[in-house]
Amino acid sequence: MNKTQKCAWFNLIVLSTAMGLSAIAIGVLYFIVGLPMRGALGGFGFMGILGLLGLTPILFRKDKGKVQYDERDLTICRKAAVVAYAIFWVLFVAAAMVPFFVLGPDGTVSVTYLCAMVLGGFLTVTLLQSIVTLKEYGWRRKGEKP
Amino acid sequence: MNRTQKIAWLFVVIISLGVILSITATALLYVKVGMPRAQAGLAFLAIAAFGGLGPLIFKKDKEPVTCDERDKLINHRAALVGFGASYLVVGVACMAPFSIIGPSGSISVTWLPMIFVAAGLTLFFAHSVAILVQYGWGRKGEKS
Repeated sequence: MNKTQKCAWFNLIVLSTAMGLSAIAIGVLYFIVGLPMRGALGGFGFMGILGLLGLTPILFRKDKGKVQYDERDLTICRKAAVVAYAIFWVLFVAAAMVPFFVLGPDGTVSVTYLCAMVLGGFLTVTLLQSIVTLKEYGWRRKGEKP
Repeated sequence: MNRTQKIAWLFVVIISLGVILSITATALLYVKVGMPRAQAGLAFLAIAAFGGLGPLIFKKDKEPVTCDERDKLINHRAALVGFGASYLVVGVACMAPFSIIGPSGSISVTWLPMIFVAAGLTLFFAHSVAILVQYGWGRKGEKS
């Protein structure tokens, strides 16, 4: 498994953990504890786990004396990025236009909705990039030497 | 100059023209009639839509091979540059109201389509500029 695959797995695990814990926390706070939705949204605090993504360059350092990338790796990385951004764009257009049509031109939206768009965009891009990278390489070792 | 470069040039010229005209018109209207009505000047951004005619105006070459690996690589890189630039615009446009108004504020829903238009224009403009930068901005002695 090369460095790009390890990074993709790490991203996927961190993202899944953060989103899963946030969803569980919101559900527990709303349905079991009985907080109003505004209070239950405090469960999003688990999204702070995403900060671990910043550790990727430290955790997966470059191997010394080895060729890191060839054309195939570059093509896979580029393809993953293009797919991720293309899907992000579709979702972004939907997120931008749906409130306009639902609320009408005189409606207003909370500024936190805009922040949610940015966070959602980041999550979408990172998640899809990791999934496409792993799909392109294969999800596990393919008999290569460690 | 190949077909991709010609289309990229068309996008750069058309988008620049649309943006410059809309800024000028909005500024002039602001001086004359005030702000809400001055936004009508933004209608000039519609000029940018003519960029969509590029593939129709510049038809495919009749040669059997119209693009090779280098062309694909350039297009891929340019797409990434475009996506990156538009993502930046989305980030700034979404976070600016939050920073200025504060977390409990709200804004007009018309802000959302404007972000969409700004991001779209940035995407096509950055994509076209990246193509032109990678190919070189003009002819390089190749046969047309």
